[in-house]
Amino acid sequence: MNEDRNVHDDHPGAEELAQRLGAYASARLAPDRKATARIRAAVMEEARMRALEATIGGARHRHGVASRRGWALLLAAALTLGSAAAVFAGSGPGGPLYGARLWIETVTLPADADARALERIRQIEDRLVDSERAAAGGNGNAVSAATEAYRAAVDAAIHEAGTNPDRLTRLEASLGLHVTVLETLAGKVPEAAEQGIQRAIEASQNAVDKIDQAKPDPGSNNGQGKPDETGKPADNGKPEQPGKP
Amino acid sequence: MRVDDDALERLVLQAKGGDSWAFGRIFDEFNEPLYRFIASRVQRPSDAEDLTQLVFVKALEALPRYEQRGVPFGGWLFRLARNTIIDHARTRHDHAELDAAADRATDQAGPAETALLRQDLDAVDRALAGLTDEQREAIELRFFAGLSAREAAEVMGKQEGTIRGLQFRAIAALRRALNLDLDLGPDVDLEPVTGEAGPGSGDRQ
Repeated sequence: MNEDRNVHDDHPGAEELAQRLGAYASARLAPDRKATARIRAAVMEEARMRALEATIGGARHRHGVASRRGWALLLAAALTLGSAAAVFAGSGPGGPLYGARLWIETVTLPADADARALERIRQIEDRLVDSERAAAGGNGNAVSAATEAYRAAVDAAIHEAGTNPDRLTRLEASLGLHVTVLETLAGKVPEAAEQGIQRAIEASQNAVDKIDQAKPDPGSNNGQGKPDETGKPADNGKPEQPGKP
Repeated sequence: MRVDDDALERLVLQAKGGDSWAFGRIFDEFNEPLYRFIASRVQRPSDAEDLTQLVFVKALEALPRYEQRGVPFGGWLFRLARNTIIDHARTRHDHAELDAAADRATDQAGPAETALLRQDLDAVDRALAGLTDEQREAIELRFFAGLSAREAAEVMGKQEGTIRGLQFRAIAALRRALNLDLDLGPDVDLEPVTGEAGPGSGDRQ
């Protein structure tokens, strides 16, 4: 799997040095979960803002090109935007159209299993963002609706991932971070909403447990995700290159 | 490694197109190795956290200009990190927060065990301090960040063979310093065994 490998793993001196460097990195260089969550939240906020700015910038540019279309078009756009805003407001968590929005999101998921698994993770993260926004607005009903939707999305993702190790590993990595975000959120929401957050935390933790159980036994060579000496799963379909220095 | 080369390439393309979700996946893939590399260079955990965040924000800015053309994404990202660390070192001269750099591995151990573990970690610290800057950086990139030799070469602006040479000499020096100096022959090349997922430690060559 690794072209760099010409390791005498069975040599006591070599192995001990590698282990000591590994232990050193884990003890002194690894980020704690809270730091990771803080960094991720800040970076993702920046990414979202940049994406939003790019969208607005693009819209402004297009408006400049089409400015001669006149006031009639502007009025039509304003009416359209007004309608869209009303629909958007109604489709937020706890809103009358929230269920419809979730349904549309689900039926438009890709049919391909891998693409669908990635979209499911995106969907779960969207529900987490819904929960964060609802909590920031102090809306307990919205938090409950969003966390309920989060739980449902997690359940669906687990079910669809089956026993595929790649999909399960990606899902597990995502859910592990969500627990930290949800735990932070739990202290900021009204009491009624806090129960919803706790249920979402339980759903995430249960899902991680299920994933651990569903993953193939690392000791068994089933050709999928066989771990190498680092404990990392090997890539499927990529054979080792033992002869290569 | 959780994402293979093809999946990473797709994520990078999506992120270049402004997909923040894809960038989030890239973050999940590289956050820990990047933090380890930065933490090994700056020592203060608060600086490591700030700089890790800064590197990802810089990556967001620079991503539209990133073109693969044989340059592995991991190498590109860690090169960004290396430059950020150099800039940081030019402007900050604070002493390391040694107390703040708590040893997580010792958190749940008893006092005697903790003392032994600390001694062991301090010995590795001293052994690493005895390396040349380039040897140390090669070890940090290969072992702590989990990069391939090719990616480490890209980060340090050197040939892949030079990296292997630096790594070989660094390992020999570490073994001597840690009293592990057994004769392994001329071709032994240790592979990182960190037990943690690290980008590039797989087939991203």
